[in-house]
Amino acid sequence: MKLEWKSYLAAETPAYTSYPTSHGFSDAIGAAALEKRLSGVGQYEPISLYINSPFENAATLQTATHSDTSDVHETARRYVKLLTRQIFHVGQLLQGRGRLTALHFAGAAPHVLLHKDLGVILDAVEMAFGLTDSAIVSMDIDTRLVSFEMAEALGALGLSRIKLGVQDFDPDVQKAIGRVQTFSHIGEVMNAFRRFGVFDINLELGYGLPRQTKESFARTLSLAVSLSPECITLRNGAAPSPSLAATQTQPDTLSLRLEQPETARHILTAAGYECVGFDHFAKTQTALAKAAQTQAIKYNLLGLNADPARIVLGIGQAAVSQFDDLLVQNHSGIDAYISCVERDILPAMRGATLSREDRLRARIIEALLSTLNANILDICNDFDLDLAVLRNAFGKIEMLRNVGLVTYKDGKMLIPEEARAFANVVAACFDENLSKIRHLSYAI
Amino acid sequence: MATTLQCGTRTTLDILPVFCSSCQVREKSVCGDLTDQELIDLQRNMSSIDVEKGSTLIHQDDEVMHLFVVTHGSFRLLKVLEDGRQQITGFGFPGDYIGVRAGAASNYSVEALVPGRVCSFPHVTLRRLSAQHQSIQDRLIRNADTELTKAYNHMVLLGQKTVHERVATFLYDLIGQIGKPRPQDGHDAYEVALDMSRRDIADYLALRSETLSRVLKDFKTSGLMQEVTRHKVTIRSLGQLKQRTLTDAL
Repeated sequence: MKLEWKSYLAAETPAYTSYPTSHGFSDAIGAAALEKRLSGVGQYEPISLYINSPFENAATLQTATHSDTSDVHETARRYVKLLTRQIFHVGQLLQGRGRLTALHFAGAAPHVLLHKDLGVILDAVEMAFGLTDSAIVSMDIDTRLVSFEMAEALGALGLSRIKLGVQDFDPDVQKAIGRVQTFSHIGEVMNAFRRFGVFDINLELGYGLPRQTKESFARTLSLAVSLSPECITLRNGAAPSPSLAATQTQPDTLSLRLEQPETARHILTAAGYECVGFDHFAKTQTALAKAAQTQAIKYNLLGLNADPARIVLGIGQAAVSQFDDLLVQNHSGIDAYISCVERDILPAMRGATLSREDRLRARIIEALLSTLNANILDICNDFDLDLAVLRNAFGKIEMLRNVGLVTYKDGKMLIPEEARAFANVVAACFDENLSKIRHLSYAI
Repeated sequence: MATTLQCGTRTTLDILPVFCSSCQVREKSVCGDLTDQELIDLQRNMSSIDVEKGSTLIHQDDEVMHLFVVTHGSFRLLKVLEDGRQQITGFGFPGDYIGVRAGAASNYSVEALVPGRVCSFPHVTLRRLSAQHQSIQDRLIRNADTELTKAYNHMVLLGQKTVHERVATFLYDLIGQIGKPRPQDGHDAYEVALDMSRRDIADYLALRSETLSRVLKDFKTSGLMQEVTRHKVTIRSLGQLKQRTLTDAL
């Protein structure tokens, strides 16, 4: 990695799980647009569904919903009622169109809801959307809150893929990020899930975390490899809070941050993992690695994935529904969300319709982040648009080309493997709304 | 994996072929309204094909060159998604037309679930014969509609019905097509062969296998079904089954 790249480390670019990002959303796009779009879904068109429970645990849900009962399970049941009601409503609008290929529980669902409640949600999904054995059910898991019994119950529900947010194994780092858990506990959690049929485990690690050292990071990577997860995600742990950000922009920390993705790439590829997209490492035989080889990989609201669906429907507070030509976000305020769902109104807050040019940009950004390359000319041709519409983007790309973060030749844009941690910066060049995000625009 | 299509009996005699005179589905087939003499003309251009279990009659995305009318056996219609996963979109039984939409790329593959037989009519011939025989044209149009109706019904099945209603509707329709009365068990009792796997049925009904098993068990416990085996279901009353397609009274 080159020293010139250092200045781009500070660029906190959006994750681009959707384009436009929420900065490009408008209040004018909402329930009506979503309802119309749902009626245009094809009969067997693949759909991914995700259920959002944006709460850390049952107590957070209790506070968020200003629940009038002290019984956290009763509060959770009420939230499940809202979720199932929205599930039935959206299912009704689909009228049997579409086929569910993946169901994801985002947020800390199993720590907020009892597995019995999760079963109720699965039944509702089966009834409203259809749910077959071939659909992949996945879940984000907070390893600190998992018990053996929970792993057993979740396995029995048909869960097949989990993502464990570990971040780091070093006790000092764990203390600094407020996520203390022992290596042996995480190992036991993984064994428990495997025992109950969950064989696709994604371990999420972070770089750029406070207190990380060159040695501690290498140790964390080796420990991760020893657990043999199917996939490892390396996320940029740059903290959004200003105080933490200050500690992380110190020169020595920056140098380390610059090295870490490369350290990870060397250790993990030597251990048999393949680089997939901008931040994933997957074992060769996984669906993700295979999809990466055939360029069938996708990058959307559900992150990097091999699911065939191009439609993602979001259930729950603040969840986003994603189509190639439309994005709609549910109310992020719980009161507004509840009020809509209880009146059987789609709880849409804001969204965006995508013009042909937006879709062109979305396609380029998705290609760059999922495969590290994009055939810009081909994509322009696909959308019948002239390369000239990307004039501003190329102005920005030029700077990145000069420092070797990206190459461009014969219409093909390529992010070198050693620069994959900067793929977001390259992608951001194609973001028309970037100027709306004030603190970002200086960097690019 | 599917094996290649096996061509069997192919007759080009100037007499009515044996398989036509004994055909169980002739009244449903394209040739249903033809006189024996007209049928002898038609059979010069058609063939009866034996289909091995597991072989593929039509491949998804291939151009549809022939119309197949099922005379024996059971077939499954399936769609393969880009990640290789399969999805069952329907089943074909004696009397069903498969590949009605000439020239179009097929939306699905068609596989034999058991050894079967189909009559194969080249679309190019059918186009010519349609001009001479209004009845052939009528039947083709009607069955093109049937294909659309089936797709529509599948959508309604998945969109409006509870899990019990979905299973009941599937069995009711199946009995309507290939069910056999069981007068020894009652005036309204039927049995029906299940040539498809439980997994195929669950997939067609967009249910988890576990849910399908639970619903079948419920039907047996409630006395609606007398027997449920891997390959056969016997029901006590078709009328009662019809009731279950309408409400989810447990």
